[in-house]
Amino acid sequence: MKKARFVSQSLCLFALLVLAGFSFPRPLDSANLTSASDTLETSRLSFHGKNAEQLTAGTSIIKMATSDTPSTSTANLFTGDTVVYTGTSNTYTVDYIIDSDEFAVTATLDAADDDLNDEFVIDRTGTHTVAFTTTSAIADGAIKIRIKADDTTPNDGHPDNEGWDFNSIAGSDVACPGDVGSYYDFVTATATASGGSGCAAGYHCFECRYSGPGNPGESLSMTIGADPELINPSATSGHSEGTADTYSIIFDNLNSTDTAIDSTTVKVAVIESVRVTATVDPTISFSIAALNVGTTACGNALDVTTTATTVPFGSLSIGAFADLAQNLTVSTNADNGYAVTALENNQMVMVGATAPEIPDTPGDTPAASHTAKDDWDSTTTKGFGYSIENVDATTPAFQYSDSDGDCSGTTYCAKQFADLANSEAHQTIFSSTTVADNQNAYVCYRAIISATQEAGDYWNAITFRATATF
Amino acid sequence: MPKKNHSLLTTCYFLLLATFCYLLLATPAKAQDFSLSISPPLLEIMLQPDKSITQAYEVKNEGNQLLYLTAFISPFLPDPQTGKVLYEQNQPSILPQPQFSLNNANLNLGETFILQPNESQQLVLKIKASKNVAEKDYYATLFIAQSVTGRQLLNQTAAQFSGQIGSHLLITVSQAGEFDFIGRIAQFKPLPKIADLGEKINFNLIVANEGQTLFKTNGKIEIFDWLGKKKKEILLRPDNILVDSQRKITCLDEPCYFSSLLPGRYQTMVTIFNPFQSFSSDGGPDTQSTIGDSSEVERSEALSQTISFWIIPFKLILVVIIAIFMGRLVLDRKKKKL
Repeated sequence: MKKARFVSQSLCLFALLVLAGFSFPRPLDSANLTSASDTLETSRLSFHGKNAEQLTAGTSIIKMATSDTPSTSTANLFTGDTVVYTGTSNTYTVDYIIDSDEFAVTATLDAADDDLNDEFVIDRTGTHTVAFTTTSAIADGAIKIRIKADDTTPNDGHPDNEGWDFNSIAGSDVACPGDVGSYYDFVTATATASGGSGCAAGYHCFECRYSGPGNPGESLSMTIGADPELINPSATSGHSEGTADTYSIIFDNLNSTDTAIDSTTVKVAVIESVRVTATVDPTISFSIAALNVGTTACGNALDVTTTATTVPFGSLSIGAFADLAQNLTVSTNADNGYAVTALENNQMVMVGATAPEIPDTPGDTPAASHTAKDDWDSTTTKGFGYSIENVDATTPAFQYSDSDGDCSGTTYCAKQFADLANSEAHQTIFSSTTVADNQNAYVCYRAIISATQEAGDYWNAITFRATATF
Repeated sequence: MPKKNHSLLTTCYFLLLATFCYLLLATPAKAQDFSLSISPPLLEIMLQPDKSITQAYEVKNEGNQLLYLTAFISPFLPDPQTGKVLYEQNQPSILPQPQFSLNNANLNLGETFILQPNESQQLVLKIKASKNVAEKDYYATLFIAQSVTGRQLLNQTAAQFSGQIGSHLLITVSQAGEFDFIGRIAQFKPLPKIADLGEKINFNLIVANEGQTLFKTNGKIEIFDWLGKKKKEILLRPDNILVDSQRKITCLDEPCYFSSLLPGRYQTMVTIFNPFQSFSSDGGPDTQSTIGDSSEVERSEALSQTISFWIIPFKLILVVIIAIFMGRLVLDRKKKKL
């Protein structure tokens, strides 16, 4: 009984002591720096792969291993990336990605780079911008940033799978915080690779010493890396694509004897970039659309509405022009653009016969042909011809308002259609030497007959062709 | 009777109202357009004799009316002076060609097929080079033509139109695929040859193909000052120069011109690289920074020509002469007054 009482009293006393301990904690000497962050210029993982097999001599296609290497697929590869073979330092540019384990480079592989297990890397480098707010006033101290490093090869200039490669950066590549009044007067930074003097293995150290009393609540920032920059890690062992690898970055505010007074740790994540791909097929499209009566084209109000396939002049006059038009539009993403040509099967001829014809216009000079333009303003000049009003085509062959050659810029500069029956070749009516987005032009048709034109219905067939230019 | 009349009136009234509503709600008429697209718009292939390839083309009716269409092949030759396309009707001597046919189950070249609005049709073109076909270039266009049967409008004078859309085929038949680069710079001259400060000097470049196969004009124009220092480099647009033709060449991203505010004699060199020569490891032929450096070996395989032009400050000289003349005039007058 006595023993039991003793045990229960001891337990109560112990509990009281524990409670008292929690209620009156000993004040801490250090505290966390607040608002700490490390902003990476790029959070893309570096690439580290190797040949999957003995590659074909002189090939430009690389088949990469899908295991026993940090990067096990082409998921983090991009066209234009520079591949470096670590054994030879030969560089190649990624041309395109073939599939999950093959990609092509723009040049043929050197014989020294095509062996099984030859390793290659792609460096993704970037600056680290670290920012934080001080907690304590620490006199004549230093700001020290420690960035996770690889244990085995922390400074070989190639990506590592346990942290950033130091890449031989110097203190001059680190920008210390700006001086803050009488509180902080920073001197030049130092940069020490993992395991170097005053920098324990496992982290690279970047230090900015200052003189002054320090000040709580000051927002400070440093930039690590300029030329060169730290090399981002490659994928960690067991990395899962699409899942970030996280690393610790440690911020210390040291006192004058290099003891960390205030400290905090932040995590940063590096991950593959998403390769967005889309295929745009090369194409050309061509349309012919009607224009309505009354619409103004080539400087004239149109007399009749056309359709996509017909220009119905109806009854032609001997004293006035009949003006009609169509709207031709071309779009293409072909690099060298397009050309639209026109050809008539014959001059307008009486239906069901080979004669008589409404002749192609000779022009007022007369100088018009399928290759030469001429004014056609006089109603005494009889025939059938065409002109062009450019809306936004790059290069029309000519326009109704031209004032060069035999055209004086009066009202209507015209040409004849090239005539297949006369063995004339297709003539370009408008074109472009580059890609085109809905470029269009009005093709205007004009006809007038002489008093002696035999009565009847006349017609011909005109073909417009659109082709890409090579 | 009046009741009957009333009922008739009511019926008429409703019929009239219904007709009016129908007219109001009728779908608006749309103009019928011809609109057609083809992909790809250009095919460049090298084919061995006794081999064939197939290429799928996508033809789409982009318009709002049903189209009757026909696919056919039209061989062409390039115009010797301009490189433009000249079709068979003007060049009857260019046959025989490789054989063209459609691999579609229910469609042959020359047969009519129908495309509804927004409907597509895949045409699988087979190109076969026979065993005995001559090893050279063959050029043709696959046309998709709108079929127009007879006159569509009766009892009036009319022109009837049909649209065609084409995709060029640039075919090189070769057993070994090895060619000599036989090109010629037919013309390379500055316009004007003597320019004022800041005035644009355009470079007129025409390249001829005198070889057995087409080549692209991968090259550059370099402008050097009188010290031999490069002032500008303009890349040429890689246009195709077809066999037995020449073509005016333009520049890639900017017009082929140069202007400067520094007077003096300038030299301009155009270089067109051998398209059949292997490239250096950076993906392009080496470039040179000054005239007469050590890349002669590289250039011996390329076409090059050097011309010169002058930039002279005409306007400035004129202003100075006028100023001197005016100054002397003023001084003379002052002297006379004195």
